[in-house]
Amino acid sequence: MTKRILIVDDNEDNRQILIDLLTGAGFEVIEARTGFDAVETAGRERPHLVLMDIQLPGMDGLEATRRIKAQPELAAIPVIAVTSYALAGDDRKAAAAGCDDYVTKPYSPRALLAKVRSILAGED
Amino acid sequence: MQERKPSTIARLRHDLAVVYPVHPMVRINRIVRVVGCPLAVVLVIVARWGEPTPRWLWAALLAYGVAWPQVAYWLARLAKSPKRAAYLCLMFDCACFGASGTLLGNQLVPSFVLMTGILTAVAGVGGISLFLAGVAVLGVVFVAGSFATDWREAAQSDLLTIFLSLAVAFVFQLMLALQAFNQARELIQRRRQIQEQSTRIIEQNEALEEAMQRTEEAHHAMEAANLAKSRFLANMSHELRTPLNAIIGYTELIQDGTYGEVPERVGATLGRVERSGRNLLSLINEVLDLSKIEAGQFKLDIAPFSLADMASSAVASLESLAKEKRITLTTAVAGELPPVQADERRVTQVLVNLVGNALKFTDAGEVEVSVTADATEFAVTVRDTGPGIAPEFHERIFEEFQQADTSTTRPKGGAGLGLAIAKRIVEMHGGKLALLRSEVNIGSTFGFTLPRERS
Repeated sequence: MTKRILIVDDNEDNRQILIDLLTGAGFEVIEARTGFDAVETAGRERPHLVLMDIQLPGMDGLEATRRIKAQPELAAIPVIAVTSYALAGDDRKAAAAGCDDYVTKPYSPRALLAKVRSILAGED
Repeated sequence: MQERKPSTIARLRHDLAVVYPVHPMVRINRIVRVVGCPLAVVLVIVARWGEPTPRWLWAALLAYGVAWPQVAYWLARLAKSPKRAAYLCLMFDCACFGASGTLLGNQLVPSFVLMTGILTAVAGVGGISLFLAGVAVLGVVFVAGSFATDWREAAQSDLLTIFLSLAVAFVFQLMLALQAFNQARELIQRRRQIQEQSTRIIEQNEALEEAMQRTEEAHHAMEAANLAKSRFLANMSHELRTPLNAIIGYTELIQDGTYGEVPERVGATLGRVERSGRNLLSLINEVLDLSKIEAGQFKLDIAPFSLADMASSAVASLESLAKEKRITLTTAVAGELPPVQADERRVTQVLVNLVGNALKFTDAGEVEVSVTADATEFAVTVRDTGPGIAPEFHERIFEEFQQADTSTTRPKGGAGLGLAIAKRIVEMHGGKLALLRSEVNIGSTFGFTLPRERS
C-alpha cells in the first residue's frame, strides 16, 4: 500500500522539493499551505505522516500540530516538525506541541528521506 | 555661613527643658500665681491697715505673695509627678485663701469674691474634682478661722476692699483666659504643622509612585524591545534559510538523480553549488549567532553530558575532511571524566570550529584533540602541524571579522567570525578560550576550559 504523506509549507519551492523527493521515493504526497489547511486536510485525508513547517502565516505549525494531536482519530499520525528558527529550546517546544521528531532547515533531502522511511517502517 | 552660637542662658534653659519637661499645668499655675498671690496679699494688707497685726503674719503674707509662686513652681517642676504636685500646691493656695476671710476681718463680700476667684482658677486647671477638693479645703480653713476669731465681730465691707477683691478675681480669670488662648493658638499651629507634614508625605509618596511607574514603563519598553529583537532574529533566520533550503535541497535531489541521469561535468558543478550553499549556510549561522550575542538573545541550554563523547562525535563529523586532506585526526581523553554542565550544541560548535580551522589551515601532518580535567575545570585542546600564527596576530584572531595574515588566509575562506563566536560561547559558560602555543611553520595549539562547578 502506498503511504500518504501530508506536507505543510507556505513556500512553493520547498513544497516542490518534498514532492519531488517523496514521490520519487514512491510515496503519495498531499499538500497544505497554512495551519488551518493542514488540520482540515489531515482530518479529511488521514495521512500516514505529516511534515509540518513551524513558521506558517496565521496559525503556526505548533498550534496546527496541537489541534491534530487533540483529535483522537488523528493523534496516532506521526508529525515531523521542520523549523528554520534553530534557536535553543525550539526542539523542546516542538516536542511539547506533540511533534514526534524534529529537523532544521536547511535539511538534507537524503537525511530527511531516511528519517521518513524509518518512522513509517516503525509504524508497520 | 556660620551658625549663631546660642547664649548660655538659652542653652541652660534648653538643657533644663530636656531634663525636667515643664508640665503645662505647672506653667499655667505659675503664671496665675505670680500675678494672683501678690495681689491677694496687697488686698489683705490694705484691708488690715491700721489694725493691730502680729509681725509673723506680715512675714507670712510677704512670703506667700513673693516666695510661694516660685517655690510652688519648682516643687511641681522637680516632682516625680508634676501634675500631682501642682494639684497639691493648688490645695495649699485654697487653704491660704480660706484664711483670707479671717485676715480680712470677716468681711463677707470681698472674702466671697476672693474665694470664688481661687476656686474658679482651680476648676479651670483641674476640673470638677479638683474644684470640689478646693471647696472642701477652703471651707474647712474658712470655718475654722471664723470660729477662732468670733464671727460676730464681722466688720462691714468697705468699698476699697470689695473693689480690690474684684480686681484680684478679675486678674485670676484674665490670666487663665490668656493661657487658654495661647494654648489654643499653639494647638492650631501644631495641627497646621502636622497637616503640612502629611501633605509633604503624601506628595513624596506620589512622587515615589510616579518614579516606580516610570521604572516599570521603562522595564516594559525594554522587554518589548527585547521581544522585537528576538522576533527579528527569528524572522531573519527563517527568511535566510528558506531560499537556502531550496538551493541545497534541489542540488542534492539533482545529484541523486531524482530528475534523471546527471552528466559527470554537471555533477561536478553541482558539487560546487552545494559546497557554496553550505558555506553560505555556515556564514549565515555565524552572523545570526553574532547578532544573537550582540542582542543579548543568545541563551545557553545547560544540561549534563559527556565531554569525551561530544569530542569523539565532533571529530567523527570532520573525519571525511581530514581523510580528503590526508591529515591524521586523533582524539585523546585522559581517563574517566565526570559529566560537564554546559550547552552541548554550543560546545560542539566551539570544538568543530577549532578542529575545522586546524584542518583548514594544515596541509600535512596531524591534528590532535585532547580532553583532560583537573579539580576545578575541564580543558579541551586542539593541536595542529599547520603554518602557525605570527605573534603579532595572536590577539587579533579573536576579534570579529579578523584573520591572521590575509595573504595566506584569504585562499582558505571564512569570514573570521567563527573564533570570535567560539570565544564568546566559552566565556558565557565561565571558561576561557585561548591560543596556547603557536610557532610559524611548526603549528598551533588552541584550547578552551569549562568550569566543573557552574557558578
